[in-house]
Amino acid sequence: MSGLNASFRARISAQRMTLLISALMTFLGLLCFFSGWQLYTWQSNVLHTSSNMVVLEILQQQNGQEISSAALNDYVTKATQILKSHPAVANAAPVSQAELAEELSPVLGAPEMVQDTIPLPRLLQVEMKAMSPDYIALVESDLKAASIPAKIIPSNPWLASLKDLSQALMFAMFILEAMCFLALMFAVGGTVQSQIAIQWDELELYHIMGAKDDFVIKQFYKTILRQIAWGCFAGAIIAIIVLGGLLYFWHQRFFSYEATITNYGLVGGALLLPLAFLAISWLTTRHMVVKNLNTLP
Amino acid sequence: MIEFSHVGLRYGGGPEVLSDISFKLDAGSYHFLSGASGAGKSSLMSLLYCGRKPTRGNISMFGQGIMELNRNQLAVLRQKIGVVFQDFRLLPNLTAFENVALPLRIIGQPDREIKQNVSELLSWVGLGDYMDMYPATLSGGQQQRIAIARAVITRPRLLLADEPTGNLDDEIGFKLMLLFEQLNKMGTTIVVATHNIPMMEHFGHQRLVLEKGHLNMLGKKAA
Ligand SMILES: Nc1ncnc2c1ncn2[C@@H]1O[C@H](COP(=O)(O)OP(=O)(O)OP(=O)(O)O)[C@@H](O)[C@H]1O
Ligand SMILES: [Mg+2]
Repeated sequence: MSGLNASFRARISAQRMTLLISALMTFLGLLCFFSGWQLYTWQSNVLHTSSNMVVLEILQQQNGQEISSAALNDYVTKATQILKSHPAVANAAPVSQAELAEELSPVLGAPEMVQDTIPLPRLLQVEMKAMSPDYIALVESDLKAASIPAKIIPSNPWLASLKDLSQALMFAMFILEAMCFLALMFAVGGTVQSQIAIQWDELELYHIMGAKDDFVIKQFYKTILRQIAWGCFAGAIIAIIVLGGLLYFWHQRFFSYEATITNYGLVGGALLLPLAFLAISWLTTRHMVVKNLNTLP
Repeated sequence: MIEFSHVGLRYGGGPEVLSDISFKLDAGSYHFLSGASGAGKSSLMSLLYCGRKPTRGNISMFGQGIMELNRNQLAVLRQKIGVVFQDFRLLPNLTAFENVALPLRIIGQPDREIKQNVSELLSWVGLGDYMDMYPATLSGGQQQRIAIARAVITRPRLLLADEPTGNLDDEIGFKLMLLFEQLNKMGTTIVVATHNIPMMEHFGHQRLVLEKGHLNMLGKKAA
């Protein structure tokens, strides 16, 4: 097949751009996938509310007056005691301010700074025995009886808006990912189409000599698709190096290094994604060649 | 073996270039196809190698109606046909050797056999020393011999040659015509389109004459 390929290869050098585009798209695609995944992980860690979990927020004002920090701490302790022995509650624990700052650090900044400058809400994680409005009303009235200013937030709106934000970002990542797919598809389609135009006389000759469509398609696989495969491979390698570096140097701030590399969904997805890019290129190449060959009798 | 019945061909919305052509070629026959320039010889050839579908009528090749065949079956049918194009259609990026090897690669012959067959044939047509040259660096006559070698390399059942000796001097032209005679004796059906009257007279095969899109056999209306 070497001789035949020479003809294809001689004319294909102008199409090196496909290699670059497939590398770039694979790289961007992996970046989007990774970012989306980290967002997802972070979101499910921050909002790790099991179905019986509610958040109790100690209000910062009572009768229109600011409550002092010391008094707030008192309320947290008292509320914890009441709740722990409450018949409707399975468990209750205050959310430490440091922990809260840590979890929000990707959005708000370094934990030490957050704790000092931004007033964080006083929260308690409360696990109800059952998630019924009666139980919640009971807990609220018992706290009121102990004159603790508090409200129960089945899903905290403050965290919920963060959840909205991260969901919007995840959606953006998804759109970007889809754009990468589309861009690669159109780039490959355009390249194959122009290659076909350049070589039309040659393809027609193959056809007249009795070449089956598969034979012609194979020539494109061996040239253009091979380049794309190299591109996807190179893009994946570069992405892994970049993301690996990011993980390694930034893991104290953002991600858990160990948890990330042992996450089979993430690793598997990162391996499958370049293959998906290759598959879409393969289908596009095939489609374009078949479409053109069908104009021959 | 080949049968045309009421075949017509037009290009796009133009007038019929070939109209109501009916004829039969027996297996192993040898015909010359003549006619004025623009009479439609190359067009008729393109129908014979299934490079076009007729706009009307039926064509049957090797006992199969071509309209009933699917793409792969048509491809297999084309593999049994060797064509020398009027304009050669050699691939400029391939050497003489690879150009001739092309049909063998398409039918999937192993490299070792290709090497032997192609070298042998190129030597026979007097191009043994030019195997690694590219078409652009060869003379018109040398290119034509490569085109002929490419058409016969697979020992096709049907050989179609459009002006195959136009660029050749009498001696080499005659030698190649003798090759056609030999192939014909071995059973290849041959159609040669030509203007060369002395050559047609010398070999004396039956003539198909195209005139204004109609076909006559030996001056008579074709069957
Ligand atoms: N691809 C094409 N598209 C449109 N018209 C064509 C095409 N090929 C041939 N024709 C027309 O068909 C007619 C017959 O052309 P054809 O090439 O078959 O003649 P020919 O007998 O082979 O002539 P020559 O002896 O000069 O080679 C001509 O009028 C030509 O203009
Ligand atoms: Mg012609």
